[in-house]
Parts: sequence; structure tokens; C-alpha cells
Amino acid sequence: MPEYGLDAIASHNGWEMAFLGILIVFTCLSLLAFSISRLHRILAFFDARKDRKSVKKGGPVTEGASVSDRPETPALKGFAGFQEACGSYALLAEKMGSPLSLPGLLEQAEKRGIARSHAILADLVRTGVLKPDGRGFYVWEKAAFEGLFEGGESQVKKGSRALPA
Amino acid sequence: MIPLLQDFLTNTGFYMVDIRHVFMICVGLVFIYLGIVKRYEPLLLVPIGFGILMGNIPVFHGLGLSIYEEGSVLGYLYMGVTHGIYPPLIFLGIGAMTDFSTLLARPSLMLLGAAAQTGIFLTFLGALAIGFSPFEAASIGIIGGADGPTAIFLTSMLAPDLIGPIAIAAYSYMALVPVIQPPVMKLLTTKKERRIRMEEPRKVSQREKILFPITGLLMCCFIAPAALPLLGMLFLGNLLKEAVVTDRLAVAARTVIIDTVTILLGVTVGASTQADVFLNAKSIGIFVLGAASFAVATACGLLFAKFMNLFLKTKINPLIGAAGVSAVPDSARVVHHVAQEEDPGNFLLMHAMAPNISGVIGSAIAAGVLWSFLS
Repeated sequence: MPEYGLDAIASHNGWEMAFLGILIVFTCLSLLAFSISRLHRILAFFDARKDRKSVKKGGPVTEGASVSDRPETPALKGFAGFQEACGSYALLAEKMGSPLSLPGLLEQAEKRGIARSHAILADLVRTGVLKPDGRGFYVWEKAAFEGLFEGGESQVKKGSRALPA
Repeated sequence: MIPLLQDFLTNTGFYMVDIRHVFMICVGLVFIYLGIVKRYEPLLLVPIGFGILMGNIPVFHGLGLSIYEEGSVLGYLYMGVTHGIYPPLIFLGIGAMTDFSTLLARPSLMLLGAAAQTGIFLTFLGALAIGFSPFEAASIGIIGGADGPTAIFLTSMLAPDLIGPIAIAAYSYMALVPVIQPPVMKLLTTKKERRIRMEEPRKVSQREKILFPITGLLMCCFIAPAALPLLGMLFLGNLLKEAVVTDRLAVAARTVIIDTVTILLGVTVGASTQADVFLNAKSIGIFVLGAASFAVATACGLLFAKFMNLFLKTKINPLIGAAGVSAVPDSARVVHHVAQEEDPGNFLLMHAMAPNISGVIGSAIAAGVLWSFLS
């Protein structure tokens, strides 16, 4: 015969399991939150140590101790069509004007068949080429775009060849 | 010739159908309608809805056609559900899709994901109180985590007979996030609270993103090892994504692997809802408790956000607490829309993603904890 009500909870150790369960989930996520909140500081500490060693040896010093201050490397830089796709994005951004809507830009890119449009757009945001204007729109940072490729060569011309009509 | 024809006719679905099959076929059609026309979780509801149609075509037993018959093709595919194979693969794909930046930028929001999991344990108590066994109660409670794969995983381990109703309930409520959550959100927050704007999160470096899945795995699975199948794959997927050098694997995980598994999972879970197995009092209880679990989880997240505001200098918008249930990204999207109803310039989507993602981690931990308590 199944039991009901508080008796059923008590006889199956329900209260203990629920209490401990909540406690474990909270503990686990709190510890994880705490450790990841220290992560960037730990990384900055190691960077600073590396720099100090480098200074002692007379080598180059990394720019800024904090990793988060450095510009990020695009995740898809190794992808063969990366430069072409970025160039196409530059043209589209120019055409749309500033500030521009990110979903709008993605829609245009998808219409024109730009390779891996979503991932490359994410890269452009991550690397600061597309910067939020704080009102929900984005601004195309020409300087950041040109700095994206080694040697600072602008890819707009290359991109223009790839941009489908 | 006449006996042959009679045999054939008595083996057709039209001859064997009864009202329960018709009812379940209607349910399947509603799922397909909601997925295609209303666009509620179409990637899940369409395969599940179609699976319900497949599972409720009356078949002659003994031919190995039914999902519950030994040697049937559907039965083999269903092994991925009953043996808990599909959920970790889905988690691999989710990990490879998810950007944890917002979480890394403001880790304190993880607590909202933990708070929302309280709903799981409260529903577990409720299910025990109305006469479900502890195994069944745990499987029902996990619906409140709003995480289909986690619910299926735990149920396959604890109460395999209930996989059908629990999976259907979990996915239905996930699809109905835009219907279930807003009333709870509006009930528990004031207009002023819903208008709170949040600070822009800090920029997160690539190295932090790479270290997070490793830290997360070690931290969570050392504390709750039973969460390993789900969290291990989630963090592996994320590491593949963030490591860049494994981009090919990440692309496979977030496209072909997750898509294939979603189709197989959806169809087989749908097909497991055969009317004679599915339509019973237990299923109704599961649906009622599932809805309650979902609403309670939403409320717990919201109330905890309000509680956090008591101590914070810069207040957070309590609505984001509702995203602590792990229906990614629907509940974050709902939070964003509800906030925009009060203040069209308030963009909460990015902020709500933090508790939303931590909800995924939290519900996997909760499932692991319940599994280890009861196994």
C-alpha cells in the first residue's frame, strides 16, 4: 500500500534528500562561481609574473598584465574563407551605415551566402570590430578591422570580389 | 480468398483503432501544429509529434513493429533513450553551442541557476506526498529543471517505465515557457523591479573561456560524480568550441551530432507514448506535477534574485532569476520580452543567459544528486 502525505515523505527520507540536494546544488554552483570569479585575477597574476621574469632576462614585456585587456584572436582566423568573409561584412556594414542592427547585418550576410556567417559575425563582435553603441545597435570600427589581419592590410578589396550580388 | 481478405482487414489500423489511439494521434497533431505554426520549440515538437503519430498507429503485435516489442527497429533506436545514451550526446552539442561569457563575466548570477533548482526538490516532496515511489518522484521533480535531456536521463536510470510521460511533459513545458513563465514573473515582481537596467558585463578573455570547462568539470564532478555523464559531455563540447584548434569537432558536435540525436530522441520518445501504456492516472499526475514544478522553479529563481537584491549595491533585475530554469535560450528570451514590455530600452537577454546556462549545470547536478541518493 502506498503511503500519502507527510508520512510518505518522512518514511522515504524525503526531507533529508530534498534538503541535502538543495544544499549540494548550491554548494557546487557557489564554489564554481567563486573559482571562476578568481580566474581572471589568477591569469593576470601569472601574466605579471611572466612579465617580471621577462624584464629580468631583458625580453619583451606583454602589453598590460591582464589578459582581458588584450585584443582577442578571432576564433575562425584559421578558416580559409575568413578574410574574404570579413571583407564582405565590411562592405555590408558600409552599405547599411552606422549604427547598424546586428540581426539585420546577419540577415544580409545569409542572403548573400557569406560562408559561416554567424560564427564570423560573432568573431567580429568578440574582436571589437563591431562595437555595441549601448542602445542596442553596433558600430563598425574600421581601425579594429584593419588591425585584425596581420600587416594591417585592408581586406575590403578582396571581400568585394567575394560578395555575391 | 475471403478468409485472407478478412485477415487483412482485421489487421488494419482502422479495425484495431480505439478512442485512446485517436486521442493520442490528436495530441501528436497538436505538437506538430505548435511546432510548425506557433514555432514553439519546432526542433523538438515536430519529431516528438510525429513520433506520437508513429507510436499510436495500431499495429498487430508479434510482427516486431511496436517500440516495446523485442527486435523492433524502433525498439533498437529507443535503446538510446532507455540506456541514457542520447542525453549526454545532446549535452555535448549544447556545450559546443554555448558561449559562457556572460556567466564568466558575472559569476554571482550562477546562484540564480542554483535557486531555481529548488523547484525540483519541492516537487520531489510533492510527488512523494501524493503516493509516487521515491524513484518516480525524483523523475517527476526533475521536470522542474526544464531540461529535457536531463529529465530523460534521470528517468531512464530511476523509472524507465515513465520515460514517455515525463519526456512529453518536460518538452511540452519547455515549449510552453512563453505561456507558463510570464504570469509567475508578473505576479512576483513590481513594475519598478521589472524596469531595473543592468550593467554591461566585462569582457572575458579567451583563456578564461578555455579554463572554464576544465574548472567546471573538476569542481562539479568531484562534488557530485553522478552528474559526470551529462556535465562531462557538456564541458567537453564547450572546450572543443573554445579551444579553437578543435573547431572541426565542435562544429560536428553542434550540428550533425546534436541534430541526429535530437531526431532519434524526439521520434522514439514520441513513439513511446503508445495509448495503452501512456494513458493512465500516473501520466495525468505527472503532467500536473510537472507544470507545478516548472512554476515553482521559476518562482524560486525570481524570489532568490529579490533576496540577492537586499545585499547588492547595484541591483539586478529580478526577472533574470526566472531564467534559472534551464530551458535554453527560451526562458532568457521570455525574461527579455517581459522586461521590454515595461521598458523597451531594457535589454536583458545577455544578462539572463548567465542564470539560464547555470540552470543547465544546476539541473544536471540535481539529477546526479538524486540518482546517487536513490541508486
